Amino acid sequence: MFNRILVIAQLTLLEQVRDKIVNLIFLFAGVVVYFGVVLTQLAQGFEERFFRDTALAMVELFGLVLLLGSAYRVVRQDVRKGSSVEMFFVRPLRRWEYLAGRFAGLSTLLLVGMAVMGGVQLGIITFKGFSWHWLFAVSFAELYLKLIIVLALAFLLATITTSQASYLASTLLIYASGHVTQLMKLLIARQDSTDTVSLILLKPLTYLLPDFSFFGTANRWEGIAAGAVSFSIGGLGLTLLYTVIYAGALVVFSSYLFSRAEISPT
Amino acid sequence: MPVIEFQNLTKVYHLAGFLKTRQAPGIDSFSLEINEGEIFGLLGLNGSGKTTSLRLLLGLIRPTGGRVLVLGSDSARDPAVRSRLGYLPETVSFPGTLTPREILRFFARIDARASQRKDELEARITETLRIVGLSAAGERRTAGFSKGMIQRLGIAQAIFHQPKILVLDEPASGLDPLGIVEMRELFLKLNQELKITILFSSHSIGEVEKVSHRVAIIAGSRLQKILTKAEWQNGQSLEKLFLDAVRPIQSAGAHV
Repeated sequence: MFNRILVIAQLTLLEQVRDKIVNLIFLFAGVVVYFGVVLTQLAQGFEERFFRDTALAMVELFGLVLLLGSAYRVVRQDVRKGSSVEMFFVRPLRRWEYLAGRFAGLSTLLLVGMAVMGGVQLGIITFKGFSWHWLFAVSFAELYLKLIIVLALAFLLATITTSQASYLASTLLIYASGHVTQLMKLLIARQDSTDTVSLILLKPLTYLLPDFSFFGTANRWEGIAAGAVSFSIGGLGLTLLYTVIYAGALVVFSSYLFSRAEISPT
Repeated sequence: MPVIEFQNLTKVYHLAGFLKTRQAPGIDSFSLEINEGEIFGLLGLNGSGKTTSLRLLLGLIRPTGGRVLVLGSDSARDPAVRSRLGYLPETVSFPGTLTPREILRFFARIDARASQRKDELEARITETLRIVGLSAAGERRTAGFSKGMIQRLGIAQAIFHQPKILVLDEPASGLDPLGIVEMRELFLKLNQELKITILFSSHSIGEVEKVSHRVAIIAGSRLQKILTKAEWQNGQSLEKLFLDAVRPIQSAGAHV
């Protein structure tokens, strides 16, 4: 079982790494980070902070583009085309193994991509003489976990949506909503308990949507660095646990739906 | 001895519409036995049910009724049986960034039986590429391959694990005349030298009559007739037999 998942993961990684689109995204990310460095010269007085925020935002953007395109292709497009995926499914390969392998492959691709981006960032930090802070590593780790959740979401939505447009729209909508889930919870808590709309419609939604407030170390950077805000490894462990449970549940549910779906004739 | 048995197989598709689903027949009460060592052709017009019956056999879709037995077992549920099947879909595509050798390596590793030494695996890849005539292109990325070369690579992945049964959906589709002749020669070689039972679908009467031992004519989602080679070689042409079977169905307004 693990061997077959590993084979699909390796295939996914090799396909994507050699794909020119991925190369272009790497190039794009490099160029954007470069411009971030140039623009830091304009941000006199807070160059380091400007660079850090820009670079982390670019890494997130790069990761999103990479995973949204790749997830749709491996889950939906290959199935629609009836291409190599049919040749896999007539082998002793279960569909959930295929999906798990694809997910593992893209997670690794994301890790490789982010490692490259991190390397570029480290190079620029050294080149510009900026100070290195351990919060960079924590922010990168949290960003990776956040993107893993988005990848799992993309897998689920690629499985259930019927067009690329609806897949992209719904994934981006949930991604955006995940940034305000905590705020929604706070607002609901302030409402009168007899407000049925909040209780019946919004409250369950806040527990279904991802909560990206778990990944907010970069937003608290200044406070943590100054010692005004506490940071604990235990908190990072909770974030990891949240990611494993949330992303794991999404992948299991996607696999269930994918296993039940009939592959349409081309 | 039958290696494939379609037993009263029925498939109805439920096509999603705006507010309600529409039912469309795939195949209806389809019963057929295919014997070991045969080259068996499924002949029918577009939409007659050929691909549906092959997909049911392979477990890619679930039957509405009836069942298919492959080597005496249900192919959809038995991984051991699946590893004895080779399949070439109608639309074949491979990642353009990979070479035929890499692609075959991945397919080999998925098959549990392929847990063998690396040198043995490489030797088998070399041999398979030789059989399908892709020896010279083994290290080239498939992005620049012609339709014929992709089809050959499709055959290579289907026979690599030494299956007992090869299932091919419209294998000559999109090939040029030379490619069709080469594909035909390859079929005969696989059947005669490797003793592989071949079940294939086609709407090309000329191709079916040249290689098949027996032919099933499907029209209107139903099996209309089973013919042996002797019938179209010694009596009426296969074309005439086919038209005689199909035209009444078309005239009756059935979906063929």
